[in-house]
Amino acid sequence: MEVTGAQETYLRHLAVGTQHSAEKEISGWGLLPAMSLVGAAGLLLIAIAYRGVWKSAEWNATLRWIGLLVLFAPIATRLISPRATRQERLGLLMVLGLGLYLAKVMYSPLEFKFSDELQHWRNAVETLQGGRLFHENPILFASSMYPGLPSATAALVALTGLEVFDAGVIIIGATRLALVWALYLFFEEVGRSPHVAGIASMLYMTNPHFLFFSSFFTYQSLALPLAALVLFTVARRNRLYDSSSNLLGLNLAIVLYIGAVVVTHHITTYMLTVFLCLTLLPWGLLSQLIHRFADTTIGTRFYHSAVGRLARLGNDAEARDDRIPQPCPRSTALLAVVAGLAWTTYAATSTVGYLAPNIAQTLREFVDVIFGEATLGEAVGSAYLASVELLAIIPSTALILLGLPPGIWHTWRRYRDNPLALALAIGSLGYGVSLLLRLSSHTAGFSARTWPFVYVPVAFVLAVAVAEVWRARGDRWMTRAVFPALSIVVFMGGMMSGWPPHWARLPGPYLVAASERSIEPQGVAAAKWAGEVLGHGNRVATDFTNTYLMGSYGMQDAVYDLPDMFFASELSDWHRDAIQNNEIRYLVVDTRLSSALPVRGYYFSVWEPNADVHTSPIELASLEKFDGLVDVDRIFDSGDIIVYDVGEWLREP
Amino acid sequence: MNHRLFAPIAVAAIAILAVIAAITEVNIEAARVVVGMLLALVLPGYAITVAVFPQHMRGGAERVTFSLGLSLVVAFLGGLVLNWTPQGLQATSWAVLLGSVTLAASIVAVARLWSGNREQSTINRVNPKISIGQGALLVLAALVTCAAIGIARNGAATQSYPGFTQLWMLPADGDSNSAVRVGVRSGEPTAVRYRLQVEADGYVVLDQSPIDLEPEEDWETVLAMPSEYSQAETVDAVLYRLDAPEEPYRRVTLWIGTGEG
Repeated sequence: MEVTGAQETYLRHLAVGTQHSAEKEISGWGLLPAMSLVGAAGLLLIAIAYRGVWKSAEWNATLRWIGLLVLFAPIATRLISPRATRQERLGLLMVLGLGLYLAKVMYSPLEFKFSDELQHWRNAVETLQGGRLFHENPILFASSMYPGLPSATAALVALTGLEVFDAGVIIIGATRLALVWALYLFFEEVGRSPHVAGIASMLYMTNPHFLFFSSFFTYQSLALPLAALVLFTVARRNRLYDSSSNLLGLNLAIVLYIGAVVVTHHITTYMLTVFLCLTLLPWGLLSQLIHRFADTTIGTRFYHSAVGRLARLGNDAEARDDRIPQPCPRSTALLAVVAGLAWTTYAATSTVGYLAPNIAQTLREFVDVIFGEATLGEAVGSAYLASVELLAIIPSTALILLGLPPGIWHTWRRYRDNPLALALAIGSLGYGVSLLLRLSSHTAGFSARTWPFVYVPVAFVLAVAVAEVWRARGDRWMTRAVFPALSIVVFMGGMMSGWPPHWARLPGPYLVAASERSIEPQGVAAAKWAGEVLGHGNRVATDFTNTYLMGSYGMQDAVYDLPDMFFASELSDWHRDAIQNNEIRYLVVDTRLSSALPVRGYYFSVWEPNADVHTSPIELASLEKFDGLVDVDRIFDSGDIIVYDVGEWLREP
Repeated sequence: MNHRLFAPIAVAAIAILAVIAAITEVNIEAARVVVGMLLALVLPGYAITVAVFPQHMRGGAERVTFSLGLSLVVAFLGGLVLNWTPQGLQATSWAVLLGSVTLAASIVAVARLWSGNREQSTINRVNPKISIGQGALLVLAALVTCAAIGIARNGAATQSYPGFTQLWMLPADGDSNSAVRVGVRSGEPTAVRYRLQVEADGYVVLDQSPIDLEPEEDWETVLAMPSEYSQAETVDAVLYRLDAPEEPYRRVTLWIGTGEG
């Protein structure tokens, strides 16, 4: 396809956006070097806070927030301004995206501590040890059927000799850069404006999971950038200026990216497929009307005259392209549907069994929320939020909700010929659904899982709204001050809503049942001992923290869903039966559980007695009841962690 | 030579060197890391990008994004391919696979660039000019970032945790009760002297002292049970720290006389 002169002219405007005047003042890099230094200073403050220079945890936590603000606020302010060049925007987004990633890496710079990461660490290690993919993973069963992450990690470790941890940090860091730039390029293609793309990419980074969860060494962190690459490549293909030779490459890239997403993560595959299918909805209604109109003589004249009139209006480059209808990515949507179904049907057969109960449970509880059986109080009263943080979260949520209607309206007004833009507008409504799911503490977790996906359309729609206001109001001090301030509120609210919870925002000494704050050397050493001395794959019953340690470093088949085994003051026939029925060979008892209430609300699982409402710690006597029992060997003692061998109970009487 | 041909030819050359380095197991750590990272994360994607997009792309960001993405795709899908080969996912097989993909894509790229339209689009070309002041700021930013990472790593490495010592005991030969394996491992912050006492039904069969262990050091023994204790019901091992010799520090127990084993 040849590039016409008009299109080339448009593209030159797209390339420079609205920054002609700015380029006269500063070079192509603009304020990027200065912003990089400020961002690095923010990272330094975060590192100092993690180091715990003050005895007061509150002071260190405050310093961490200041560091995050120093990293985010100046770059966000610059990205919101139309003065920045495209080159500068890309650089700023790289600094912000990688800076926020480093803020996560610095939390635990020597080993993986987050339970999700431990699950995937096991996949990578077993792939390296055995030279094969698809090893069973008892602590995250579904992950073994999605070998993208262990495959890439194995490649890097095998070729470099790095540790799995270091290779994982590098891979996720590389994909973080790919995610940030792929999203920018996607937003730029759809929004036809570096200004809109810069704001949208920055707003995406305010999503509560961007700082930590999407930086974890997990399959979703890897699949998300690939999904963004699919979207960008589809948008790029839809443009009219590509040569036929480039179209071949773009189609090949789309096929490869979709294939990679499908073999990497289930939810990302489904979300991508849903989004691509959304692009089909409005197109069916609108495209025929638009094409019929454009094919008429009047339509053609109107089209050209409209473009010409818009062009004479000035620098409003985006609006010139309004009447160029964009094709609908039918074949891409079909490919995503077929590939996803094929992988689920033939390779990842148990994915449905893994996801369906969770989704069904969420829907049931969602219905309960709708009919008033759960209240807002349950969600906001959870152990994950400090009460003062609601002061930031509520305004942040309100701002997003207020920004969506005008954003959707302007998206329709400006981009209604682009099915991708309309799908983004429709997709942004998912934010409301995710908020409804937040109303119950039980469905809140599912809501949180949707954020990395829902924020793609939300960020675009909000960016369109901001750009429209800027366009209407001009570059005044009011707009220059208000939007950065609002973006900071949205960012702070997002960071407070996301992981880690307030009690784990800083690394530090052991806390009871506190996720990553419970991962410390004694537990890790006990798990490694189990793997080395007991061998791999033994059935082990223990608490939540030690399940992940035993299941990863220990390579055991660990479970945490036998809480009564540990809560009961004495053992009964029921417990013996439970051990036999679950084929439990070892019990791992962490006596520290008796020293405090569980910080995350439960010791074993959300299904344990008094989960989230414990008023006293588990009894030490209950944990020590296995001592002295006939045929129960106390085989390991590291002070706080005891391992019992109940293998005799598995023998036939 | 057309300067646009230089990149794919250079990429092919680096890929060949990387494959040779992997096959011959060159033992220069830094070189292995750099070349391995290039081969895993950059070269295949870059070569494919140049091969399938013979016209210039719209800016460096697009090229970098495609290169990273396609390299990861090759690693993902390549893993599936290697999984079905007899060699599996080994360093050599990875090097051959990724090197072959890079080489093949580079050849296609050279061929297409040689014969195709060599017009370059200037759209979104990066202006690489940078002033001395800007360069100094970027270098300073990099240094501050490195300092931040260093502080974080140092903080994590020196994070204070309570010391601990592991004591463990297992039948020495599976379920056989004729001998037991006993091990001690120190996770204490300093060197510690221990005393280990093993009893069978209350009779001492081993009294080992001192056992000196440095941090992260371990000690292990196989203890054959004397014949007079072959009918003992339990074997207990108790570990003492010699700086508190009266207080049992760790304790483990095996029931050896009640089961079938």
